[in-house]
Amino acid sequence: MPDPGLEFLVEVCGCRACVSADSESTLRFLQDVLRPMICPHGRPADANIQVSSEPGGFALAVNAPAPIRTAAASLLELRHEVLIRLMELRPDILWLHAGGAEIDGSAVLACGPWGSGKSSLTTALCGMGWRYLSDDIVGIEPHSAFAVPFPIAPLVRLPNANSSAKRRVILTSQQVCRAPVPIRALVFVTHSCGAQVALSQCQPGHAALKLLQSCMNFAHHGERAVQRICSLVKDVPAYDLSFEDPIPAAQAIAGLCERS
Amino acid sequence: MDRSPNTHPRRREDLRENPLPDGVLLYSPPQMRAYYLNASAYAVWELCNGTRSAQQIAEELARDVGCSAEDILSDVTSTIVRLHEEGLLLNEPEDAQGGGTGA
Repeated sequence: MPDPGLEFLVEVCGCRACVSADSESTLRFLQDVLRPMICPHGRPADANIQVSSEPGGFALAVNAPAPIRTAAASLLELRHEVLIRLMELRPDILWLHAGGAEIDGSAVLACGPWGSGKSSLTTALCGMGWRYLSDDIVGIEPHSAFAVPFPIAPLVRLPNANSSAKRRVILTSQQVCRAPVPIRALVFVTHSCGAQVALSQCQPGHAALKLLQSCMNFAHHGERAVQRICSLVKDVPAYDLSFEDPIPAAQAIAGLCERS
Repeated sequence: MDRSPNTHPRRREDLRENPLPDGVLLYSPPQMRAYYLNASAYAVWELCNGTRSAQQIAEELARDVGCSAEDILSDVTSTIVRLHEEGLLLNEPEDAQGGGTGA
């Protein structure tokens, strides 16, 4: 049993998980990753995620939705494993590799692979008064097609173009959106050095394929994912955005939303 | 794939069609693979029923758009080749069960 002091609760779209670790440093790392999702103790957790240190890495024991034991060789892998387990608390949600930010009750999703600028763009929007949904994972609700926040602590690239090092951005509680919101626009982002901000329409067919490529639990949903994504791209405008500096890119997104 | 206008391509019947404003997303459940066809490629794919030749497909489409079949035959043929390469058409005549490698 872990020390009761070495655990904390997080909430993921209505489900609660108790995350515990057998060392303070591991717990502190996970708290830093999950800080915007941490909730006060109250009603019991729906799942327990226990992390223990082992030679060569970490072991995870998860009791729900199905008992799982898995391993992680590094803190980066541990972060990934824990996020996967948290997403699995709501398998009905279609989880996308995307960032998201909300203003005036609706969200813009920034989709793209690792290093494409999702975090930079999302946090730049938050610097302009938008509320943060996530910089890496956003869900799509099964019935409403609303965006589901997954507010892990954002990490942005350091201002050295040759480095992949990132720094954590601290957000206030008021800057975090915790409830599902309608989706106003889909933006497929590409960060490229020296690029001016270029925003253009993305046709629904291409948007659907890109969203399917971003889908993190496609194997679970299969054809339902295809149907839901086709339905989404029929209703929501999609854009391609390339940029180097996230501030003018965020301003372009804000301008787009003001016009629409 | 035979590029002759006399081939009779047949589309796979196991693909689910999801219409979009600018085309169709085809989905193969067993392969868990999706394919986007724009409106022109979809029009060609839809006419590939195993009885029409590429020439006849070009003639039908030409009637619809009001041009001559010769004007579009090369586009129709290259679309059929591409559809075949993507695994969206059956091989003739040995492959009657569907399949193909997809994209």
